[in-house]
Amino acid sequence: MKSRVCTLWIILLLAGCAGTGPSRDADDTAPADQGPLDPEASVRHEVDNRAVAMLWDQAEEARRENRTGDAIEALERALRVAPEDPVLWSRLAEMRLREEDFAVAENLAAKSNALAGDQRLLRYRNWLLIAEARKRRGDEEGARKARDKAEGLRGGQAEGGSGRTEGELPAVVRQGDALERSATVATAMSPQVIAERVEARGLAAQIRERLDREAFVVRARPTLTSNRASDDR
Amino acid sequence: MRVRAQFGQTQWRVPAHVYTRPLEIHDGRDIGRMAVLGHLQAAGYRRSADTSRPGRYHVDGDTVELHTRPFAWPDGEESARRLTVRFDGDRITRVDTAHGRPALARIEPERMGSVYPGRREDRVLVRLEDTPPLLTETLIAVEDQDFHSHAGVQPTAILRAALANLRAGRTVQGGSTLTQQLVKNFFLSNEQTLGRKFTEALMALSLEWHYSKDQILGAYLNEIYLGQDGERSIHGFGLGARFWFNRPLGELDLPGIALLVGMVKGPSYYDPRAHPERARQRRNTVLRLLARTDTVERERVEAAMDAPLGVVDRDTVRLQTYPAYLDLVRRELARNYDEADLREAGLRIFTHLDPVVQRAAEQALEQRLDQLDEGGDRLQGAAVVAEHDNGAVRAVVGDRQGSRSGYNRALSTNRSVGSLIKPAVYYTALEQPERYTLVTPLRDEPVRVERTGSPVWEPKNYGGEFHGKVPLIDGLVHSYNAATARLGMELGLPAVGRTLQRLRIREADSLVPADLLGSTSLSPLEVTRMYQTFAAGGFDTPLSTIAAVQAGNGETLSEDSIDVRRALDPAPTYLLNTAMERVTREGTGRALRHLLPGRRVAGKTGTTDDLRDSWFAGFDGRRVGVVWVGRDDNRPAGLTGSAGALRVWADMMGELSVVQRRSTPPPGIVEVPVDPASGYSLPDDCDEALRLPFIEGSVPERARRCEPGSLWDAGRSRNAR
Repeated sequence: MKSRVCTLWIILLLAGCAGTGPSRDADDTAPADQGPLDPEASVRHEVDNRAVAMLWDQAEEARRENRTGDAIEALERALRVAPEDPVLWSRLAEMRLREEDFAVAENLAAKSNALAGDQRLLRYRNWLLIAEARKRRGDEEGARKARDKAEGLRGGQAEGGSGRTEGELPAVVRQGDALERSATVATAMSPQVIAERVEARGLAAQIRERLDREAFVVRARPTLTSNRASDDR
Repeated sequence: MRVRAQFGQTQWRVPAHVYTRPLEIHDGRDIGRMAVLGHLQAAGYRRSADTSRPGRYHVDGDTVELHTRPFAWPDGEESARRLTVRFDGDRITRVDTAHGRPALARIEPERMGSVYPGRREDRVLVRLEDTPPLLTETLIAVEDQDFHSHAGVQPTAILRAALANLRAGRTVQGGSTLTQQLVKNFFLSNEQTLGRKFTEALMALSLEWHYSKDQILGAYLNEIYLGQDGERSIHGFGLGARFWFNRPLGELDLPGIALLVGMVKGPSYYDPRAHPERARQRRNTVLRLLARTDTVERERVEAAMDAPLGVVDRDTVRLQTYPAYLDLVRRELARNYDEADLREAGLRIFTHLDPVVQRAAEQALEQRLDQLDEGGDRLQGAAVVAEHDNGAVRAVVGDRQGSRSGYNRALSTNRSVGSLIKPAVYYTALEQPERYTLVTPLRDEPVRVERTGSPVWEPKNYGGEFHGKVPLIDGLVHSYNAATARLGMELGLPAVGRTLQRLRIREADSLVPADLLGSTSLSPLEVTRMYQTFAAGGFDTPLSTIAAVQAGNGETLSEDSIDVRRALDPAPTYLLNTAMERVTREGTGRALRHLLPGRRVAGKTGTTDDLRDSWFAGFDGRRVGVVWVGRDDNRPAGLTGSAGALRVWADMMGELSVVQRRSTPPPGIVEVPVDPASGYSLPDDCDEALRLPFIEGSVPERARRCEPGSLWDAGRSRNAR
């Protein structure tokens, strides 16, 4: 059940600002109040601005119709309105990747990561984008490192645990239009692996475990000397 | 045939038109009602209860009904739309279309001065099919009633004119057809001889032979001379309508059309600003003619005769020159475009200049310097403002008097940056979390660096005293020279140099110890680039002034695109920015606490030896701004960074709407309560504990109680500095 709820939020991440209007008013302090353990907060893409939602719709439509230039234009315009929105940066990275501007794509994904806060799924996705950009630029070693980063965010194979079975999928899909949208989004948006991996695993449990563990580590390790664990290079 | 060759390939000489940014209107846009109304007025929108036509608006309290004009943007055509715009204070809360759908609209930008000023023709090209039929009808009725039937010349008219001239002993009549007038404007000099008249007639005949009446009329509409604006000559009805009425040609009414057509006869003689009565009579003569020839119904003519001239004030249409900004535009253009194309090819250049920001910067600099200078004029200054996430330069001021062209200090003045360089030193340290955190103790004690071949370097603190052991964050917040110099030498010059290289400030291996305290000379623009990277969380993006360039035919030649490069690591940059935010609260920039109450900003002051240069570089959630104040002769200005440049910066930012600095930390950051004096982290429940960010894994050891003993020396209390 947990996994199903989580799938829904993943969809919000992937298709979340698809023009349904503001999810609520701007409030800078709220996400922090929800705390790091709330998986909803970690994946939700909030659009508090109808202009951004419109531009996002335009960008999505252009992307689906392979008008990559138009998608880029709409995303950049949206970013001038909401420069701190990590999902926009991520999508722009993806569009640049499509145009084979590998270095630009990698930098844009990194920018998205810097703004993503505790949105682990988004960061996961960004690292896969970075891996893909590096691979296609011929940097196999860099690509491998980026994939490791992505894996680290996913919680790793060993912790997989309660993966959702194939049989549960239709139940989720039945939830309607938003999900149908998300299916397209998920497969088209990036290396197909993202969709597959996201779909195939019980992410909610993983994220909780992972965050719990991390919170524990931070609290229980009051020391000046230890390794740096920033997730960027 | 010469005429044909020249006319056939007529490329209108149109200088590049340069525009400010368009006014973007959408939900949440940080612009107030007054600024929007100001923009609408400047763009020639008319206030009217009836907004059924484009170019009109209506104000009802905090709501503005607006009918936008269509505009061919570089990224596509935007059609005219009716919008309802709701304001709350200095924000737009909602923008809806007539159907209640959310809208995102752009109001056409302000045109600014030329990239290549000087004597020149200017025009706004119009197509015959976009010209109001009333205009062409009036033109023909007044200037050449047989235009549609003659063959280019009217011998009878010439004869009549020749006789009249002979009788008067001088030239008093033209008798030229529209075709002849066009020929005269196009190909011939202004001498009025019989020989020239003959050539003119021949060429007119030739023109008529090769081209249709519509082609000739279309050319006439764009060629005819309609006024003078200093060095700029106003050609064609498109620009004429703008210059005299501040409206697009399509929005001209009957009295306006009659006046413009009447002015063809003598634009300076009938200049409606200089000679309104003469112009009114000329207009009414034209109107009467229209009634007599049944071009327009008598009632409409009578109403029009009573109408005011409707000419706008010269200041309304005077092109703002923004000389310092244009310098930068010119630099950027020179990389991709020929000067000839810029002078004549009719390019449209859309810049990022925001008149609201530019005005705020100009006024802040001028007024503060007037105040600081106490009536003198020795102080000079410069300012640059850009958006840090996309690199759009919004304002450049290169002189205490913003409208003065000439020496552009924002680009050309290279001055020692003093403490502005320090963030690079602290960044270099914070990038090594296993060695340095914000609470790592630094020694603010006398330091002496001896290197063979260079003089001994013994930096002193401003104020002369040393502060002993201080947490790293305080070294930057209070701008301690000795602590910073020691830290820099500990890190090594090459390490700090590498950071500066990543910031594209200078070569990594070129540093000398004095560079650690800012002996490096930079222009305000270069400093802006450096602080843009900090402000954007470590991502560097090229500063640009040009949003797009369009060819005369509407084709988009180039467009600005968001490009970022990860120059610095986001996590240590976040720590650095936290320290720079504290600069503005309790450090050398603490004056901002009351100058900009309630605003979350970050920044750094810079002061050079003997108070020669006063710098402030800072940023909020959207903009990075850099201000320099000093003297052109490089003598002491008598101002610290905080007493001079910071005040200008505060005035400038205070005029702009609030964009709070964002607080989402990048991955790998944890915030914990700490006691900076001791270097311990504190239990979560300590009251009033300072929370500081740390890179994961570098959180300091935690004290058992809220009042821990010091890690460094027992006697030191939290407040001792």
